[in-house]
Amino acid sequence: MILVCGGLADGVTELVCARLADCGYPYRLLDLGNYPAGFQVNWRWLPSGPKGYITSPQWKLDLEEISGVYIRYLGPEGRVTLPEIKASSAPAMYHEYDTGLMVLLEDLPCLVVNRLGGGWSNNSKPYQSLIVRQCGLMTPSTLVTNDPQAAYRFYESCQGEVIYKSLSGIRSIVRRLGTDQLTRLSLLRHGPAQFQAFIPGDNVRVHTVGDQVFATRVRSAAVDYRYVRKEGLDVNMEATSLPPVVEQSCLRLARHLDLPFAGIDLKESPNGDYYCFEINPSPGFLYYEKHSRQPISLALADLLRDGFTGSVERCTADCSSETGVR
Amino acid sequence: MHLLLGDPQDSFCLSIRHALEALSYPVRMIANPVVHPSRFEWRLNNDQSASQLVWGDEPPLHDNELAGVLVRSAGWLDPDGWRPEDLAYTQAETQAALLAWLWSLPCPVVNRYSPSLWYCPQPPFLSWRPMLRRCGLPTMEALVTNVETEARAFGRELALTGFPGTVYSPFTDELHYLVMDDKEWGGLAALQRVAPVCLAPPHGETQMVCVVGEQVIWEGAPCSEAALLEPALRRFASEIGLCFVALALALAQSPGGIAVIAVETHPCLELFGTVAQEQIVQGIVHILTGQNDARHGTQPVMDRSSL
Repeated sequence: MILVCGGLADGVTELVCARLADCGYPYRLLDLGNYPAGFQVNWRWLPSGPKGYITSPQWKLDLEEISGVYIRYLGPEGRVTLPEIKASSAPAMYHEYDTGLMVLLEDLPCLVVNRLGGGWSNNSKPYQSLIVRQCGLMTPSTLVTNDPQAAYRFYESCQGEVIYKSLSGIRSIVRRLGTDQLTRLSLLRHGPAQFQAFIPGDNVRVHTVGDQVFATRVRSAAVDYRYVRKEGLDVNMEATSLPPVVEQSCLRLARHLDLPFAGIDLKESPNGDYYCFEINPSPGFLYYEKHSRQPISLALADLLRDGFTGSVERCTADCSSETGVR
Repeated sequence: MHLLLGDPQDSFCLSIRHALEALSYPVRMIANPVVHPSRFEWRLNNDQSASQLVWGDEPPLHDNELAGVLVRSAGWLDPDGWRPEDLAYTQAETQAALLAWLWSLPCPVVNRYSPSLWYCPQPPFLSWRPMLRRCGLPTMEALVTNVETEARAFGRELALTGFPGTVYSPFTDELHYLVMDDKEWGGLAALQRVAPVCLAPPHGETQMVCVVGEQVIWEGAPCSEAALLEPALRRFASEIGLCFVALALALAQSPGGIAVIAVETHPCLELFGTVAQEQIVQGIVHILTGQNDARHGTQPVMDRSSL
């Protein structure tokens, strides 16, 4: 039995549930939007590991029945707070709920997509860059500094073709370093920032699902295609293939971080080099599946059912369907 | 040059500083190397990683001139003068830079924390169980439940085994509460209506132990049963990639036998008496000066040969 932990208000979780339903793969949804309301949990840690059950009004699931887990934690939005909880205490309670669940999932012997460990690397992009290099992918020339003069020297050494973006997991828009920003470099004294040589070319978003690789080429004139509408520009996506050596490096990177399912941001330069920018441990793949029509959710459903062992009996459900959530 | 990252008043840093200086090693103590007054510059590309620190008019200190780094601070900023939203962002950026930089250094780093321990330095004890189990370290039973009858049954079972009550510990708090009488069980049941609770048996006398490199240092002499755990303790330190980690053990005279009850990834010297403190300081100095061949002292998780 597959256990899906997430909120139905989240489109990605909804798609995972829909795909499992389409495939006829049995699953149970632990709705984190309401959890723990309506659920009973009883997990006992014995010397061999946790035993016990989860029940909802409709079902009871013994921990030993769980063959695979998909987990996508929710933010404060999409959660229903119990009436006994004050609004000011709600974030602390959500943290308590998530931590308790995390503790269980980390100790289940089955495949968990994804355990938390490797995901923490996403909070430090330069840390990921070190691993990216080790796994055989290229990383753009990067400067991390709190020294305005060093930033200016880097800008000049790159002939002014420089972008800046956050070092941490806090989402930021990737922007070009221009004359306006150069006048504000003195603010760096308050804390370090990350600068990178601008790499021209197409963005390629790679989803690794177990041992499968799905690459989506993203064509856009925007520096950060995620915010293409803000810049009034277009974005075009299509399925693409990667050189085998790049595919293998992506799989190596995901495995190194213990991420059975990962989103990896690459860029192919005009001379055919692939640079890696980051690896996302909880990829919102809905957007890419919808635009490239690649069977990412299908591969994920198979992975959750079969683990890494593979199976000859693959589901052939239509990937365009997003219904069937239960 | 040895770099000690921590508060100027940090007794641990001061002890290490004195020990290194007594051996004529140059030392600098600094709370956070990637913010003012340090000028921090780190260039990273496919072929190289090169960083330097500059203080005032001093010549730059290049990363290959660093002999060792002691990490006692995760780069926390002084909140004074910051707007909360700006502080949160800059704090996250600073910690991200510092974590990565520590991993880029070719010298020994005590400790070179994984991102999970860097960002979550005190995970709930239950989360250590898979690794403790793999390493052969015993733990006590525990129950997570929001079912009142299950909690009560667990309490009754413990009482029959001779435990004086049940300990409730929130996942996200270090506090522990002993649940004994009906009123306390009633309070726990009220809590269970809003959140699953984590229950465990109470433990008796405890003993601290730490692993420094390959050395296991006990606070006081270990009993024979505890001493047998030394290989498992070394394995545990190696598995989590730390060359300095402390654990608390509930001793054999507790009902249920000897068991690990706490893991401290950022141990304070004050957890130990003076004899053990001296051994710890000497052990860490050995690692920082490259005299310790503990594999997990310098290359814990990431193969740094390609950095």
